[in-house]
Amino acid sequence: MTMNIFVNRAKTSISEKITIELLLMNLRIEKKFIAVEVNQVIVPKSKYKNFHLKENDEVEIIKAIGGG
Amino acid sequence: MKDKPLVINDKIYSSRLIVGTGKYKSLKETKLAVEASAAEMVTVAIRRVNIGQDKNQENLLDYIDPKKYTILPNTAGCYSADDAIRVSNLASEILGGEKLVKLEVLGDKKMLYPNISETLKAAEQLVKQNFKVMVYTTDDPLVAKELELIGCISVMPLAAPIGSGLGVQNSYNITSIVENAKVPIIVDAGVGTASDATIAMELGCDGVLMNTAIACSRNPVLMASAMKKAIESGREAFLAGRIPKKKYASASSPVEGSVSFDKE
Repeated sequence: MTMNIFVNRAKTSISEKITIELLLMNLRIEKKFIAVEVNQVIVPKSKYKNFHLKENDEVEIIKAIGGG
Repeated sequence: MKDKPLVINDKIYSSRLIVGTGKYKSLKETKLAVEASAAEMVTVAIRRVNIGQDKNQENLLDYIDPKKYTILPNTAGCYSADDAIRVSNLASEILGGEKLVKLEVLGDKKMLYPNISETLKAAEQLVKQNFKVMVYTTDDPLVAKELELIGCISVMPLAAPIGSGLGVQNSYNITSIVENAKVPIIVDAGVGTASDATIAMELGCDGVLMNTAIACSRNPVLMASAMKKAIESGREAFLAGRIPKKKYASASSPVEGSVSFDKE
């Protein structure tokens, strides 16, 4: 079964109850030096493994880039 | 003469130059310019990861090692206190719980001037949340003092609008801010070339933060090296103390005993 979530504002179809850990693996995003928000609440890295996403969750994956 | 070291968030810095990492052609060029600048504190921006656009996206922090440099995340692009607080928390999570942040709440897109009421609001909240706030602000001495009293660990007035390269536009205000401050005053934004950085330091500022002047010069690595020297020169000149300006000439060679061919 699949569900829809929003990843960095883009609607994404993904397997139901996927964890943040697996989502990041699917997207090939390294855990180091990123932050993840679900519905505007930061999820600490230690919880990625057990945090299951739900239908319509808004996930933001954030990193540091060049800036002044 | 031994200088009083620059201390920010209980860490001693031997360089008074803070550099940004935006607008470079590549991460490699960023790294080389940062090295040439000898800066020990480096600013970064916080943004969404581009999903699926580049599978092997390189991470800036693989080039600018947080173990080697103090990473100063900014809240650039935020136009409200709430957004700036959100970005500060994301930055802290990215950097493993670090609480140092460059607060920047903008008010208008043309001048990129700070929105002072939102800046004050965000500063207050962030200080309460135990953030160590280095704050970008206008060159208004009263606002600078208020930000210090709120608990910001450094106040960073602009020399001129961000990226304008116009140099210090109001040296009178910058001097007033420096004279009244008990926290480090770092000129942030507006420097165009080495002499601008020197002028900021000659006014007694504790440091200068710059990005565009280096990154957008024809040779960023060389300009980074120029800026390093400019900052050092300005600091030494400030410590040495400039001579007063005079209206008329005053001869460098003694007048007494001079061989004059004029008949008296």
